[in-house]
Amino acid sequence: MTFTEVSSPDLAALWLTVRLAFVVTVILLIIATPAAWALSRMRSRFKPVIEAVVALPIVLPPTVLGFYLLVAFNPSAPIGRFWVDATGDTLAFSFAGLVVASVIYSLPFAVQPLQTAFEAVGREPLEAAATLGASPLDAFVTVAAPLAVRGFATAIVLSFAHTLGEFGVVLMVGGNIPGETRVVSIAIYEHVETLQYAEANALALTLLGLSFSALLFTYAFNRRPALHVG
Amino acid sequence: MLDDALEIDARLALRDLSLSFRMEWKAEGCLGVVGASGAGKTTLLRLIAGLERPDDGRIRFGDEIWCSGPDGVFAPPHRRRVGFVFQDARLFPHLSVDGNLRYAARRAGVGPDKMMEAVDAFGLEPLLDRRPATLSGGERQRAAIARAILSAPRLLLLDEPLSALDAGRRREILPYLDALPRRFGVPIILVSHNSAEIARLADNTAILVDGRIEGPGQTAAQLNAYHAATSGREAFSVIACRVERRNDEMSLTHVRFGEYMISLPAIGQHPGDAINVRIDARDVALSLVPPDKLSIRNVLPGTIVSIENDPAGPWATATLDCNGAMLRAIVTRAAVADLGLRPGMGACALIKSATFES
Repeated sequence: MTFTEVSSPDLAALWLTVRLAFVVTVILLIIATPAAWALSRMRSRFKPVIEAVVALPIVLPPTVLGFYLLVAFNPSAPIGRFWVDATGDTLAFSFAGLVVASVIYSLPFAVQPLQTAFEAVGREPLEAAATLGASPLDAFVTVAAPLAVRGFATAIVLSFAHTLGEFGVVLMVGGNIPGETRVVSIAIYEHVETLQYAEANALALTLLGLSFSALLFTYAFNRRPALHVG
Repeated sequence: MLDDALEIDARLALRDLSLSFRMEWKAEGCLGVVGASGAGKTTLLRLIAGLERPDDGRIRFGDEIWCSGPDGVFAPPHRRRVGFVFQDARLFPHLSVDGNLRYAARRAGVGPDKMMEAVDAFGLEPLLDRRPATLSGGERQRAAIARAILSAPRLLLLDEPLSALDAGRRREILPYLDALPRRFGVPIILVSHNSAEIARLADNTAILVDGRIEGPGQTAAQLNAYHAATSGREAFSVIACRVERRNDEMSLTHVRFGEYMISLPAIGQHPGDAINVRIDARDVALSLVPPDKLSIRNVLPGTIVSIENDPAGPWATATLDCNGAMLRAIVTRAAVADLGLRPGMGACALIKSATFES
């Protein structure tokens, strides 16, 4: 196996993948933070049900998730029609569709570390903040979030890395449109199908390096002694 | 606000205890709350701070209704301006001591001069840059009390602030607590299971028994009533005294009740100050004749009003009326028999000055 430089269509796939992972991570932070916070405070008996729904993408075969998303994205289905009405474009086989699918697919990887971190913060520091005149939002931003900073780091890295490597869901809802839905994992698959092992290797190595660096960063960050943040 | 009274009439069912609190307090000086552990002391403070919501009832402070009925008004804790010093301090671990103090000061609009005053009053200057994790228990409590003060509270709640500290650290914190109401002009509610702390700090005291409040009333009377039920080796008496004079050369403070004087180890008080002196019944000896050539400084003549023998052990508890103050002494049953002690007899109570906690 010889090393081959990454070709320009593959560079486009790489760039698309990074862009997708970035957008998905940002959206996930916005959605998962309040969701994880609510779950960490919740005492309702429906809590296990919600937790199970959030965790579902971990165990569900990506093709199953992808299949149902594809059905939902169909312009004759409510969600698909809403999207067409709102943007004039279809969700299936589009970058927007990939973002929606990836957000759902990676949701547990953002919610779970955050929920664990918030639960570890406990109510004690927040009660102290309240008696010092901090509103609940103020206390969240100035006390809970800094104390849960490791949870945020883990959630960001896992969401990003998990989105980088997704394959099954993308193939089902996105197909293989260059510059639109052709992400790295699809490109690798295509190279292998056409027996271009060197090209596949170049991309696979890049992805391996990215994922490893991301995890290395998280573990190194979370290993630091005592909290000296914020 | 003219009428800063705190009025509570609240009910709350906990897992193993149903609480029914009813109390009115003028919100002046220091109110002590004593009771056994599990009697609901912490819950009372949490209700006042708004950290707990009662099942039913109302809480009023001055002209503000903090809570009324199960579906009525409920002022959240951050709007009540009630300072809370938790048993475990609860300093924010991600901020330095300075950061913790500023956290409170900024939200209360307290300026840098007030901040300096609090830093000074609690001796926090050398600790400002330290993280809470690196502080000793006593330092942590001092920082927590200063932080609560800097939130400019209208009422300060202290939940067993000394219980996590050893005797040496307690002595370190006590003078700070003692000075709080006057120095910072904030009324205090102090919860403790330690009646010595309450006797030292509280002007008035409420007793918590089985989720109910008795009082508030004058500290000495309340503590004596509470502990009338306690017999045996834990018995004690509290006498309301006034500081007569200080003898700085001998490091003694002389306090007076009625015509009697007691010598205590020197404390921070000034002549004229009221002070509750707590005397463990174990530390009181009885003599039928006024003793002579004895190192014991405090000799209080009185009349025996009752003697309770504990048939299961060697002890008897004698109660002496000394000038109106009821003083309890634990002596051996053998001594009662040898001296022929019985109610109506005159006797002197002997108390070593060294037994007083300073």
